[in-house]
Amino acid sequence: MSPLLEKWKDYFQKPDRITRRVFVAAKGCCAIEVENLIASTYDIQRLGIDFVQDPRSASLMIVSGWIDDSFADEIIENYAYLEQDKKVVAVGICSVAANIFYTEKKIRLADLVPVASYIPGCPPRPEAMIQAILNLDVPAKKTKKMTYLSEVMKSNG
Amino acid sequence: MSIVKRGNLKNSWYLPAILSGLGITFKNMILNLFGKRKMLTLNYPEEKYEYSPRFKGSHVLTVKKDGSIRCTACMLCATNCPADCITIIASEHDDPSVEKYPIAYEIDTLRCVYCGFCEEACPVDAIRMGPEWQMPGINGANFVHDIRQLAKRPNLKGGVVSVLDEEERHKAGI
Amino acid sequence: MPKVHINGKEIEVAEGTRLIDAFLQNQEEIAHYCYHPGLSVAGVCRLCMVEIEGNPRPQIACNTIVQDGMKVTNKSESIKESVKWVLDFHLINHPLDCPICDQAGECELQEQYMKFGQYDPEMGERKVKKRKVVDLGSKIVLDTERCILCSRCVRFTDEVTKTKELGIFNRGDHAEIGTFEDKPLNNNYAVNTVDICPVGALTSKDFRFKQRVWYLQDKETICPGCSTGCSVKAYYNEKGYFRLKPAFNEDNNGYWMCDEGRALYRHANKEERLLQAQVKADDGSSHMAPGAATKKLAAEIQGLDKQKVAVVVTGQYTNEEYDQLISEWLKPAAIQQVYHWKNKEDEWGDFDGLLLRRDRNPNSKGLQDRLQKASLVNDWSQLEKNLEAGQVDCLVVIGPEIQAYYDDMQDKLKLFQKAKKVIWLSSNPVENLVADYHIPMKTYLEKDGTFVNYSGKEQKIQKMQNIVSQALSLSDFAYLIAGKEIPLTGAAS
Repeated sequence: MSPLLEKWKDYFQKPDRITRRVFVAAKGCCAIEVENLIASTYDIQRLGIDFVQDPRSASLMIVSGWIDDSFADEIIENYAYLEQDKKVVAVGICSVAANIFYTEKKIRLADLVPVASYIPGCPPRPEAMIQAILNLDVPAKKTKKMTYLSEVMKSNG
Repeated sequence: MSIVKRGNLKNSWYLPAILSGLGITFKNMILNLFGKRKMLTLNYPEEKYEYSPRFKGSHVLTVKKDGSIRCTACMLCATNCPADCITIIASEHDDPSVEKYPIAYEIDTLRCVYCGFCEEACPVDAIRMGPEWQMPGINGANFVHDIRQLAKRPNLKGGVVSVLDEEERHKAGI
Repeated sequence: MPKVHINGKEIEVAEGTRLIDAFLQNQEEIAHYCYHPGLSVAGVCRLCMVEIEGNPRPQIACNTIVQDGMKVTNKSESIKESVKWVLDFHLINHPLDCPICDQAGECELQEQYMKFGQYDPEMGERKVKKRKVVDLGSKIVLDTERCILCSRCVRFTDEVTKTKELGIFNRGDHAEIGTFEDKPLNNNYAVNTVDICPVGALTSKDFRFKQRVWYLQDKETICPGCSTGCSVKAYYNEKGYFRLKPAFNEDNNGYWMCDEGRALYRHANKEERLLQAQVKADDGSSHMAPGAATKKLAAEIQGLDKQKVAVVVTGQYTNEEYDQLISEWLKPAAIQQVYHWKNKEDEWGDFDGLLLRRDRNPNSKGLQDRLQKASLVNDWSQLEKNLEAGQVDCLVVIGPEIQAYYDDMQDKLKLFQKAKKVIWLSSNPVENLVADYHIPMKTYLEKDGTFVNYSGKEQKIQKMQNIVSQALSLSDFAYLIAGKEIPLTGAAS
């Protein structure tokens, strides 16, 4: 019975504190990979990261997908709404380097807002995204399974 | 005027459909509670996902048996790359049986789409897509991988030996 | 005029043409390696087989003269089979060198193999290994394994340059091309053998491993090396210019060009160019944009006495530029002292028998005609006298673009420094030059224009890729120094 009780303790522990709220401005194929993060396989809520709907309560913005003029306007507007200590992460190479589409006008994310971290890939693995968010000095909280951030960084080289 | 036949009672009420969906959720929860099924969550930093041997990750430049680079700077990978991310500078080798080799081979990982066209195009098995997924980097990190990092980074433990060898071919008389 | 049916079409050809010429002139495809229209016929490769009606076996087209009423085809199944098997024979000992060979992309073996090849070779023996990377002098590298013994290079050194350096040694499977005891191939037309070699056996050291051929585009222009004005093709991409090859011109140079002209793309690449105008200031020299420097110069020249301004011109610019120079600046400003800098004039009649002439300027005749029409012809000794007497306030030197043949440049520099102010116009930096203004100009690969060769024929050059986009052409300079603005439309180059 004791392993079962261990497991039940995980279900009935106190909910952990959310430390980094993320506003997801994701478009395109990478949006599906970003949605994976909050689903059950790569559950990032146990790491203290949550997706919110309102940029005014978020401090991190994830941007992915092909950037055209209307999307560029939205990004700049939402960037202004973020909380202090704001960071932007570019996911997938459509936003990083305007991908391989041979259009005339190519907008990269670095032309619009200051970018803190780049995640290459088409689309990148969800582990890469989690690693990128953890690298940005997110104060990770201690769960029953998680260790402190410094130990996480050490184990990943 | 046509007569539309309504569905039976079960379909016109909403509640039975909702309850059947909720039934699936509760069934899963109870199965997980009593240990009948493994939890699907991958606790990322502790548990790592197992990739298939053909996964298209960071590039690896193979070496010959004596440790020198296998690539002959034929530039087929750079021509086939849809993102134009490979830059090669060729040079003359002292040994006349190995006439040409690259002195500079760079891949810009922020442009690469990890499509695998370079691996398909190479005629001598010099470039492969390795098993490590694409490393993210903070703004300002070095995203252009040069020949030392592609062929001899510490993860590769001294270099991956290529499958196609010139010596065997010359000995066989082809 | 005999009429012949080729692949169903009826064509009329001149008397005495060969079948293969009839094919090639009418844009019919026929595979050939050893035939070259500029050389004699060998008939060794056996690839240009055709079926002639009435003949039981296929014949080679390069050695068959056209008769009236011939019905010829090379698209039947048996001809395709025969080409396929002959190609297999050519490839028996050919090494697997495509990744390292420079000829990939323009190799005739690759072309015919994709059309006719037998993709599953039937060669079961070991291949014969021969010498690779044989050094044949300072320009050519020989790889004897790749040679298919078409003997085009041997016939070239036999008939065109008549120096007879190359030959075929040994017999059978071990036959190889080479010079006797590997002596270097050092005549002035040696790199033409690299052009006519259909495979990568003879390759040019200058172009070795620099760029793959499918990254380059080419355009036709005129070689500025001497007054013959051979037609050449320049190969370039956005990184610069890579090589020059001859283009076929029936009246002028035929199929060939000399080796001295092949180096004339290097001075146009960015490493050797003058990028900005250098203006002498009190503390050393400062850099300015060329247009701004010329405007500043125009303001300074305005106030000078026109009797004391001298202009030295070289014959390396186009006709249109000379026209603009005379009509916009020299005539309105009434400058009389215009001198044509002729380098070694007494040797200008020399001719080496094939293509090279001693006058190493492409357009001296055009310049002379225009100066005579504008009656601005002066003697060079007049300039020396004026400079010695200190009577020249401002000397504008429209310098040569290709400085390699101006051996007396340093002596002339000492002479020119005697003027109070020296303005030099050229596309590349000049050694030991101390000038008040040194303004960068465009090279011949960056302008449209006309050169006049030694016999009075006008030939056009084309604009290709700009390397230094703010460099001026001579007509831009003429507009600016006369105080006007460069017109946006119309004017040449």
